[in-house]
Amino acid sequence: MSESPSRLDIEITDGGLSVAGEIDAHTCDDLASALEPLPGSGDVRIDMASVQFMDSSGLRVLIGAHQRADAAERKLIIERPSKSVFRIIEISGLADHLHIANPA
Amino acid sequence: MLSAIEDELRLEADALRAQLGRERRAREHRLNINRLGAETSGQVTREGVAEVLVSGASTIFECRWVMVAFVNSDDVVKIVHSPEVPSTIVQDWSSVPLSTLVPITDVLRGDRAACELVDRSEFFPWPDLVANAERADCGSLFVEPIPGGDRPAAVVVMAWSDAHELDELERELITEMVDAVTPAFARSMNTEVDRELATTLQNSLLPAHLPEVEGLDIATRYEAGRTAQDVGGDWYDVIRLDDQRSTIVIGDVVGHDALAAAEMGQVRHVLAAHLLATGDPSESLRLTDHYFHIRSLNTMATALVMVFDSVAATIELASAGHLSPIMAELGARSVVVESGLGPPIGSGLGGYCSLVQPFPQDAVLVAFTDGVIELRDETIDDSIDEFCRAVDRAIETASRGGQQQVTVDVIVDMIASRLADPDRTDDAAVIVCRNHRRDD
Repeated sequence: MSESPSRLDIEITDGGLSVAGEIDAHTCDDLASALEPLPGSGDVRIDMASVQFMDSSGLRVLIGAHQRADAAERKLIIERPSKSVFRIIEISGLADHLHIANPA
Repeated sequence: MLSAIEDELRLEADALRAQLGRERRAREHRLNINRLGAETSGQVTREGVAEVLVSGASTIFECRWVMVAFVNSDDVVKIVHSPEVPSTIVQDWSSVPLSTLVPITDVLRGDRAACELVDRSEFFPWPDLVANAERADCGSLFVEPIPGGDRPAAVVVMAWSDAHELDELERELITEMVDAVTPAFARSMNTEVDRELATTLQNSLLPAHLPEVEGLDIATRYEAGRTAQDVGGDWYDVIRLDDQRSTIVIGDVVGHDALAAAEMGQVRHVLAAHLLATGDPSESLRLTDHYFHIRSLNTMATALVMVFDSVAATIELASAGHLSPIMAELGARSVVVESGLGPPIGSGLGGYCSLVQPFPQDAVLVAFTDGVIELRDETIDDSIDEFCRAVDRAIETASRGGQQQVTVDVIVDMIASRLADPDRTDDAAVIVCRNHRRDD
């Protein structure tokens, strides 16, 4: 009956963030606050190699951060997304819009 | 002389032993109460909390039976009970209005702080209780409120077969037990109120009637998620453009609550207005995306727009980050129909396009939200493939049963039975269309 809330670990790195776990309605606020304001002053890199699951609430956070970076003439770069995360980005029509580096 | 001392010592030892036994039991009970606090905190409905409380109280107290009662939105009392409550009594409680005059409802209404009836001679103010005490196997009755807002969130009821007076330990345990479950009742009540609001909004914002469309049979379904929080955001729509063309829409606003339901109503109508004005699926998505990007900070939705041309037997598909539909035909494997793909509505990223695909007569098009297929442990492609095979099986079963064509009801019924899965969390919508042009 009760759903155990999923967990997301967020680590601040030199170039931005490294996230691990699941990004969904329970955890997306944590990711949103880590990206608001955008860390650093140049491009922001989010390492997503250890994210096993992301749903549309996670995509909403990434799109928002992407747009804010764009407005500041910076780039939000999604690094090493796992296969399932990359597939969600693709299916959601975002593969040509978000900056993605080294997909699995 | 000696034997008198021995007797005295023995009595003292017995008393000490009894005292130790009581203390050990009290410790065990307190552990049970702690456990009760932890277990109820995982429950999201009052019924769930009540079930845990009934089973916990039955373990802690050596009474005949335990009931927990609370009030539903229509002022009818809902009970959750231990298996020891006689079934005829359970039946009596199947639809008891809050206004009934018995101790349980008196305390539920807040008219009495609590009830402590140590033997049947104290039952006389309640004729119903006197009349049913024998059937209920109830010689003494205790009703304790669980604090809520204006009136108790629930009451816990314990009955003993014989006369029974609560001792000091029992009183302490009842107080501790009530304290342990009070937060869970408060939380679950809020969740239930939120869900009810979201459900009302969601239902009022989905189309009440779909227009008749030349050449199409249409069936739809919306199901809220099974867990308390997952209501709201999915929608479908049908808009007639002219005698030849009509639009079928399915979509999903990000989020699951009253806000998502309200946003769904906005996105549904802004998109429908652009579709009516332009008749163009990708242009409507572009205009709707632009609208929400400049008007709202946080609204995001995926949507699939399909324009059916009944003369050309084609469907023009444009997707804003939404899953493509599948096409099913008798004697063929169901396949995903490729759509022109762009980003979700509200992203402000633009870049929409459409694809025109054949929609032959007797073929069935199934458009759905991810709640229909989403399973966290599988990849999305495996889930879609599994869904196609489920559609195939439903068609095969129907055709073995003598059906000459794939009906929209066969598909919707199959999906409805999948959505009955108690573990499903997301809400889900589906719209199924069959091209019956020319032959019917």
